[in-house]
Amino acid sequence: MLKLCSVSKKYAKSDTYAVNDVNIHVKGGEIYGFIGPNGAGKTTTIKMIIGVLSPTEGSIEINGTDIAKNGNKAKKNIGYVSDSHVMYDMLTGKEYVNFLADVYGVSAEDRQKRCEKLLEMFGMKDAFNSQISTYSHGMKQKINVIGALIHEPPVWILDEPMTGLDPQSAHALKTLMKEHRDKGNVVFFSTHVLEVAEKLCDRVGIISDGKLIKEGTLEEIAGSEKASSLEDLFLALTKKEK
Amino acid sequence: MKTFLVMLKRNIKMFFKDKGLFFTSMITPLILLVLYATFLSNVYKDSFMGVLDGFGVKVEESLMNGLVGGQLFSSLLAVSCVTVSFCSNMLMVQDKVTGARKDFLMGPLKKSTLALSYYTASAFSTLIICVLAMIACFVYIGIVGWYITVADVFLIMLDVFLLVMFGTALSSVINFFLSSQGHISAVGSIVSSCYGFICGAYMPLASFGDWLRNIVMFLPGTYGTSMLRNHTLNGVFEEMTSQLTKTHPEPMVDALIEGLRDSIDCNLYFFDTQVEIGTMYLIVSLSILALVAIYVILNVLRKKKD
Repeated sequence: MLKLCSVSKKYAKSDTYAVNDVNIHVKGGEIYGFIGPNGAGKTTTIKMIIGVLSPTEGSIEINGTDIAKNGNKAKKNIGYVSDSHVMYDMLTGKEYVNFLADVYGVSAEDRQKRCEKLLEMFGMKDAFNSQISTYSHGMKQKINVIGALIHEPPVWILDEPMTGLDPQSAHALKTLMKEHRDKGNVVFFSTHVLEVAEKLCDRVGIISDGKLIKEGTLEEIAGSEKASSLEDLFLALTKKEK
Repeated sequence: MKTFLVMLKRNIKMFFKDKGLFFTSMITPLILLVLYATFLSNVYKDSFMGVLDGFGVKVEESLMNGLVGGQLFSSLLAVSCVTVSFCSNMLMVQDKVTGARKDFLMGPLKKSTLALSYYTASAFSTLIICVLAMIACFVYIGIVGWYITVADVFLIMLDVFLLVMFGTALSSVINFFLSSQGHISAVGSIVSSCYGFICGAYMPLASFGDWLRNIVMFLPGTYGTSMLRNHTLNGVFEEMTSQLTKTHPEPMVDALIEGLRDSIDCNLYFFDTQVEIGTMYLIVSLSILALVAIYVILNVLRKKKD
């Protein structure tokens, strides 16, 4: 479960709120799409969820644990896939995944089982023992996903996860997201690709200028607007907000 | 504890895998070896011979080789313990530059655990390299002329340990403020090129001008070099005394040995007062404690600021 209660963020040298009074509650077994134009506050919100930034106001609960009060316990429940890779080029894919598995205390048996499945899905078996410096952008993204899922986190956060993935890998990632949801976990992801959000999400939240301007299932959001697709809805809502 | 060990393993592995960092850390010891191999060894030998000739005495070739080799040994280790720790600790800065530090903090990892893992990994990596260098030096001394007592062997080990701790603590405090690739290059170059001079490893402090010698006497690393030099050369001086007193008057031999000890910094003087070996240990130990305390305070302040 992921719960954001009246979360706001104001940066030190700014007069305005980057994120303003955002309330989101994602239950287990849900894929939540977080969409918004550039500079709307998506990344700031995600950084607060994963504990890199502290909210100026409000609180964030990960699986029932307040991240501000018990950061380590809360973070153990998160798997995070970023859009920019901070990978360790001198390590092999295997060493990188093993490092993460060690940090999260995953047993040798579990990590082998999970690795085998994920490597198979992403077609990374052959490259697993190669140095990360030799990987393409897409391969780095795949190893990033494998690393994020190695401890089977109850809350999986993805920031623009489809960037750089080939169609097969994008399909594999979408399958994984659905599988993760079906196991009763939370999948929270930001995207610019509205078609992906439309097809994959159980609910979406639209953020603009730091405020959550609309939230719900596509039907609920569409009910109040005359639009035939998420793209039309998104454009209509963000234009109205401006 | 488990997370600390995982980070410790990762940091040590990253240092030894990063050929750039590893090679940079070996630059100063290599410079020293090249200097000795090309001319310093002969310069010292000639200089010692000159002093001995002045007193009208001659010593065995192996004793002379032990004297020069002991000086190389002490200089090499005194420099390596500090410069290697600076380079191994650069990983802390590299992680800031690449964003890996932020990445770690997304996981279940406390900032204090991360800071401690950098410190311990740097000390451990430096110890590995310096212990290997120490073994190589012992082998070299064994070949050219061994006069080191068992007690001095243990004291050399203690000196290496203390200097590694000193280098790690000093580099942790300085590297704490670095945050870019430019900073890494600048500090790496300055430390690699200058430390050997200011600690008296390249040239004895006795050959410096008075004002410069008085300034470097405020630096704790200087005492570390002298500690090592005393323990690598005590045996040589004892043997020299024992041999020369058989044929020469004792006061003259004492004056000769004291002159040699002064010329290669076995005797250190803070302005005009001679610094005892116990005081040198005290200065280095207190410096380590003070630097570790500063590193802890800096991390606590950063945690509050974040």
